[in-house]
Amino acid sequence: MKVLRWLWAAATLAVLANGFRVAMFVVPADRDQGDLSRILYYHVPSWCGMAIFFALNLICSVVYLSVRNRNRALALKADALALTSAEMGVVYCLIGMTTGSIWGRAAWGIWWTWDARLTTTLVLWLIYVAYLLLRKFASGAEMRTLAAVLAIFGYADVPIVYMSTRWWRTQHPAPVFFGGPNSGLDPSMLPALFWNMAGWIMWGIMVVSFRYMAERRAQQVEEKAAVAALEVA
Amino acid sequence: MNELFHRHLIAAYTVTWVIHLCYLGYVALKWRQTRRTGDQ
Repeated sequence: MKVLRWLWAAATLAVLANGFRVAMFVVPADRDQGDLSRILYYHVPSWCGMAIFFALNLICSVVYLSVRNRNRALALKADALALTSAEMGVVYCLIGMTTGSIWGRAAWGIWWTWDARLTTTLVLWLIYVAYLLLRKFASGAEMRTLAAVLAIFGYADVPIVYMSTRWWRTQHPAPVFFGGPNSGLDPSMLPALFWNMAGWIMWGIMVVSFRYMAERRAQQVEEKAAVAALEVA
Repeated sequence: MNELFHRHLIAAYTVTWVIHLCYLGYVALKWRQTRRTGDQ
């Protein structure tokens, strides 16, 4: 298992290094924005990572709520994965907003605007930060149940963020992917996007697996302490 | 100046790595903390 972890880490770094090489030196620059458009190869994978890990958080929260009274061991595993995937999703969301803000500064001349996509994304980030704060400052089974419910309600903002550029035409550009006719990237730019997307998703899986193992150990320590306290009583 | 090294492009890539590495540091800290308490 340890060897597999190191192999995964090495493969992740190799894919990311190649992704950087392809993004910076292989694919052509955009006709309108020039080399600035290469921000896309780190910006879009962050959103994909966010979508994947928030979806995982939702699935784990549903699993936790449905099995918590029947299968405690599975419920705790689901809860640990829910926490770790939410943390990773928050990190990706923060990176997506920050790289977007830097891009916006160069392309539009502003760091931030209360556009539909940006605002709904900020709200989404705040919801998951609130989820993590709840988990940080409360404990026990009730906290886990509350957190799972909050995660399910919080996820409702994800499709709104996705659809925001379709429903409201504000500052953010129209969707590049699945945006209908005349949307999409030039095929010559796709390799950079795919390499970076693969690399950053592999990175996310690697970090989440480490965080998950640490969280499981913390849960086991907590369980042992609870049993010891009962025995003393 | 080489346009490829557009300062906003460098800033975006740097910020991405810095945030990821900060979170990786937090995970490593948690890993060490739980291993220490788990061993006791």
